[in-house]
Amino acid sequence: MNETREDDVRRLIQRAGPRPTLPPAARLRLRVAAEEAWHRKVQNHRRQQRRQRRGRLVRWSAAVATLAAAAMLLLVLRPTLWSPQGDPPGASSVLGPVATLLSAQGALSFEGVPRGGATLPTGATLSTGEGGRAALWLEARQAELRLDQNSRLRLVSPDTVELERGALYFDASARPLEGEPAPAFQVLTPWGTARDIGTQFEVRLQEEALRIRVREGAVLLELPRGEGTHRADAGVELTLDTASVARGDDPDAFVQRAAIATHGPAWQWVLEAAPPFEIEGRTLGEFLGWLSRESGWRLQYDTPALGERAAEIILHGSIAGLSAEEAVDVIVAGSALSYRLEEGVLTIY
Amino acid sequence: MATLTRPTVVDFPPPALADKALVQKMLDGDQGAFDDFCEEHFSRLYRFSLTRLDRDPDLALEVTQATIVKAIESLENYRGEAPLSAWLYTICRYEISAYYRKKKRTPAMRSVEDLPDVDAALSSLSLELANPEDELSQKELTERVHAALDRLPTHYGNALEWKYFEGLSVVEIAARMKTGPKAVESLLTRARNAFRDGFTILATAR
Repeated sequence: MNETREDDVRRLIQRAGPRPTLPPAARLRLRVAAEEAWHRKVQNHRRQQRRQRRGRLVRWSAAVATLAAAAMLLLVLRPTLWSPQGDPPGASSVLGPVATLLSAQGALSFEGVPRGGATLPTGATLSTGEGGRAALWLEARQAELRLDQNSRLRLVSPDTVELERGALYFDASARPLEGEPAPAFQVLTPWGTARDIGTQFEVRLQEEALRIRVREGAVLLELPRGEGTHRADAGVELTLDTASVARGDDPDAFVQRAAIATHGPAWQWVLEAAPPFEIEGRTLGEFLGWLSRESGWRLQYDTPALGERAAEIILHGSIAGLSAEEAVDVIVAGSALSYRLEEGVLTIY
Repeated sequence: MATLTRPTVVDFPPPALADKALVQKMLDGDQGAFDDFCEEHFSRLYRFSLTRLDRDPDLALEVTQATIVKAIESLENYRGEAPLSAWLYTICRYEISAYYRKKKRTPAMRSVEDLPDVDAALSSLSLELANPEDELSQKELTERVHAALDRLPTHYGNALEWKYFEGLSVVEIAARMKTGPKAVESLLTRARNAFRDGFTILATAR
């Protein structure tokens, strides 16, 4: 093509501007829907193929049985990818997915993940940019992990992640495991390992500090090379001065402990990073339980009868775009009830 | 007077055959084929819907999702006689029409792409056209350029945008595509020809 024709193309494309892009959250939604439909389709397709093969087998066997010859019959059955129960094909790793992406906002990037995939295998890395947040479901631990903006996380194994920068929030309270105690989950950082022994906590790598805040349960901070272990229970924050440690000072001497609130603005990003709660068809009790857990509030009902009533009120509509306070305002008022929120305690009356 | 010429570059295998192979692999449970399908078609279907639904992103997403699910559920019906994208666009048009019927509304604007002659002609003919900007408003120009880009294979459209909108060099594009500069130069030539053919058809349609 000569230069004039190339100039035509350049001029047109530059004048038109870029094509609209599909936002990451929208792409994720399409991916999840498409993957469900595809799994069902492949299962049905395989069932049809098995039926057809069985039909051919019956006809073939009948033909052989009628033959008088003593020829040997070699039958080769193609191996199926899925179990008879119809498990879907796994992600790229032979070990299966370590985590599933539940929701995403803003700028995100992946490494070691199938293109457009929503399941993350061992070794995968997830990074968020300015304004980016993500929520993951950890299969082995049956817990949720959220990543704040400007953060980078690597999935080391089903029960271990490495936080390379930024902050993450771990929450095992959404679906408590029954029976055997849950396997401990650990967060590796350049300055120490945070090991959970209960349910909700944040790990944040700041410029010159590693900070761990516990909302519920407890976390152990293990310093490298056996240089000490520090425990933080709910309402406690541990801060390690990493600048001093980098200078060669004893890290055990640079861990500070402070009391913190388990609710309030410092935890706001956790709620913003949460997968959206769809109220349509859910009960008021479920909504209040979810909101309290995500906001760090303690939920109480003025009377037991009110708690029973909340479990019977069915909600309709959407709270998309509302803050926690706006949502409780609208929902509780719409249910002909009242509430007060004082010092992190949400009381329904 | 318009001059008709045949395209001088033929991609092997023909796109529809490659699409048929992709669909068969998807039916066989091939994760890579499914990933390719998502990568190739999600964005263009979304833009196709956006243009026809008053640029409402939420509605476009709903329709795109419905289209993709319906398409996957009837994958075995794709015969490979036309490109997979054309088959998907047909399903998408149906979903959009269903939306308007449900709302008892008529679309505010009919896309020129949906004219039967244009749709059929987009795959192979080339017309000479001078100064399309003189004849089209900015909005019409944008719509037709984007439609022409979306009619191309994804890597063609991406390469053109990277070169002419983002200003990337051939070497930089080659790094993004994980291939060599010569392959990118050859791809850009084919992409420009295909874009120009598609755009002139859209620009002359009324």
